[in-house]
Amino acid sequence: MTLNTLQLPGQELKNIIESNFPETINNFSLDWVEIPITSYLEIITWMKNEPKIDAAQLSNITGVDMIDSFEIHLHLQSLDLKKLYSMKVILDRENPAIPSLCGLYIGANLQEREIFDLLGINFDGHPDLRRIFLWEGFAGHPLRKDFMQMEDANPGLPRFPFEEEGKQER
Amino acid sequence: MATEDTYELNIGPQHPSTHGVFRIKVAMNGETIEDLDMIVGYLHRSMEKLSEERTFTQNIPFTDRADYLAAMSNNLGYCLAIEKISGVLPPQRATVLRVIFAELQRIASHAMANGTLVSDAGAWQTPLMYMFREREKILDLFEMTCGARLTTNYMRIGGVAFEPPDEFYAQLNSLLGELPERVDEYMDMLSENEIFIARTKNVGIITPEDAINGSLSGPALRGSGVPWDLRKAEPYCGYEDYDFEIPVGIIGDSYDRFMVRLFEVKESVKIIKQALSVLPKGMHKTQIPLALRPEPDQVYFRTEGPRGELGYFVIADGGPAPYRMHIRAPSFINLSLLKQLAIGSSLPDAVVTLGSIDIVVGEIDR
Repeated sequence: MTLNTLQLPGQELKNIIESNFPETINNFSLDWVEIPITSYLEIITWMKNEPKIDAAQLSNITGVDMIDSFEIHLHLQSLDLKKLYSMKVILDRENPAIPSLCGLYIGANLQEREIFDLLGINFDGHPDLRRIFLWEGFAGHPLRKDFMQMEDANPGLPRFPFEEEGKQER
Repeated sequence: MATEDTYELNIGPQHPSTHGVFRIKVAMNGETIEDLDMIVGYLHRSMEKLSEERTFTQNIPFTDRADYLAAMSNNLGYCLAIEKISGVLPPQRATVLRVIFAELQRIASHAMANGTLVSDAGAWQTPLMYMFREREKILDLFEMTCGARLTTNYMRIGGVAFEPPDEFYAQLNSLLGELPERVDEYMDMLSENEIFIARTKNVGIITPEDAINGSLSGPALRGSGVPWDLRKAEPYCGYEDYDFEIPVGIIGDSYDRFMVRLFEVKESVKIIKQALSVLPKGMHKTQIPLALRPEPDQVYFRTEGPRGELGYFVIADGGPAPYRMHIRAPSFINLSLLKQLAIGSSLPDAVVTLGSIDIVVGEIDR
């Protein structure tokens, strides 16, 4: 696949981060780097304040249930340098928690509440961590793959055309 | 949230000034707002969960219903994201048609946004009906092309669904001829209107720093004087070949956001005219497998929707459905600053601020 026009390749982003935080990045690909949760807030704070990165805006933050872990994907961008930085953080499946970015970005507030609501990931230090779309007392977190045991029922998937006939193409 | 000095006031979920089923609870001290809490979710349809069990093509109609005032733009963003992850290339004719429809949708959406803002500011219904007149003509064009007016479901992975009929071009050209005049008419009518200025000037001022820090995008960001438009910054669909300007505001108040939208309509007309002049002949769609199976990968693709940065974050695991699809909804994220803007202002000013940010509840709740 090709990168977005503005996106900084993972290798370059790794080199820039490791110039200040040596040997923190264990895993990276063409378009993302994986940040360890222990130095997550430190690295993002540094990226926001460092002029050669200038991650002034939190473009997007979202979570994914990877069944044995949770992932937080975040995209920061610099409007002056015209760069997009793509990162991910891997969280524990049992008690997922991650520091909140609300102290750095006002724009993190609603997005982190959304992740808390739909995936049940806790954001430490969030000023107002409540459910946002669903009501208080709603059982479970719908974007988890095991929500209402849906991974066993596998609804819908057999409905797909040609799914039973193997990889037959039209 | 109410204290001894304040009383609590509930607005919505069914109130014209909240533009849909959006509810805000404010704590008022006399005429001044001291605290604000927004309660959303009345239109939550769990699109992101539902999309995990439908094929990539079957998910296109969901994107119409996210931002139902800009269905074409949402279709486009989703299709571009899936094309990027699966390596499908649309034909050139389809790309130009997409630009035409996305810009028409931007005009229709801005007409709605500005019309309701003026309506919120007290000009009851008349300007709204004026702006609906243009929107109506655009919806007619959509209807003759794809049969639907609101939830168009027009874009496809690898192109567009239908070729526009022959009479489309004549009608589009006459609309393009009259739109700049109409915009001038609205400017005459509103930009120097004493009451409108009193209601919107210096109301809901967003500084550029706050706008960037609060993840704002689209006219809400450009109204604060930040010239950030993804059509220029990160061109897609060949936007780098079109000649257009990015209008920006000066002080970032509600009036500036209104004017940015009006000027953007003129720029969109310019883009559509150029697109019509380069519209090539050929196919409008490439053939793709019925059940598309992209390689395991992730993509975050952003387009400039009428309300701002519309991003689709998709993870594919090799199956026929996305493993995870997240919509970065500009209406939702543009609300980040609402509380901060409302505190200390009066209730009618907060309503104008909310109107000038331009929300669509379908996109907030998804």
